[in-house]
Amino acid sequence: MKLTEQELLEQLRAKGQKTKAFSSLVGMFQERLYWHIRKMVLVHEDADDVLQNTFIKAWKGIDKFRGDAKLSTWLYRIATNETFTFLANKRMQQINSMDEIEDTMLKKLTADSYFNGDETQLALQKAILTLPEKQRLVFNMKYFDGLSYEQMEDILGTSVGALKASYHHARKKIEKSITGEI
Amino acid sequence: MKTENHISIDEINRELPFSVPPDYFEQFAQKIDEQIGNRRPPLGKMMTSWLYLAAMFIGVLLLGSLFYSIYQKRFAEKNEMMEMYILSQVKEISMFDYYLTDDESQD
Repeated sequence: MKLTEQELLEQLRAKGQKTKAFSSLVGMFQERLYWHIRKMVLVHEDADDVLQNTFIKAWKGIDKFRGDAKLSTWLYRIATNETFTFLANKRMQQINSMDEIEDTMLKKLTADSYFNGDETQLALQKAILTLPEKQRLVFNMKYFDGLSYEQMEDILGTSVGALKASYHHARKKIEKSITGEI
Repeated sequence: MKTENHISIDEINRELPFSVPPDYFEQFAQKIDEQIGNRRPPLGKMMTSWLYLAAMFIGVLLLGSLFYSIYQKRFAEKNEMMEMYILSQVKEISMFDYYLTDDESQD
């Protein structure tokens, strides 16, 4: 039987059921969060690390979760923060390198055995990588996940208007980049 | 004005070009369960950790005994060489004197 978010939250708060309920939470959200992260970090190993950190953070913070937002929104926020932290750390590690982090990510992506895109899809990923991180996230959430601007507003804490403008600009930049590439 | 070869992203396949290793999500859930203490690691995995520990311990013991025996051998060799050196510095005649004197004093 599939639990609703509310039932899951009640179980997480009930004495003696926390760990079991948290396993259900992992089962319920792991795939969605994985793909949310993977689209940003591109490589499977990195996505796996960030996803683990996300759930460990959630486990440590679950007692403080007051239920103001939906459980899924809260988890998406943690995953997003963990992804940005991961990318910032990568950037710091590469501060003395000649390559930009995006170049390294692209190299790793083309060598990744879990990337199976064609030439156009690779060009698209390359174009997405030219966007600033936050804009990249907005683009991915809208283009690939088809989230509504309202859902994105809840997760990212950015107004619908700003999200629409960001997506529109991202789309233009990507189309320009791909047109030049292919 | 749009160029002739302008590409719209709507023309591109929206399916994500990524995949994951087989059984990744099942294994991931188990990994998180182990980390939050909901599941004990499988017996095989626990045994493996104990085996690693035991092997390390035995390795340290073997290395220790090896080094100790080498040290002892070298020490004995050094002592033997020292004895030979000392004997080489003493004239045979004085050695005879020594033994004879020793015998007389015992009487």
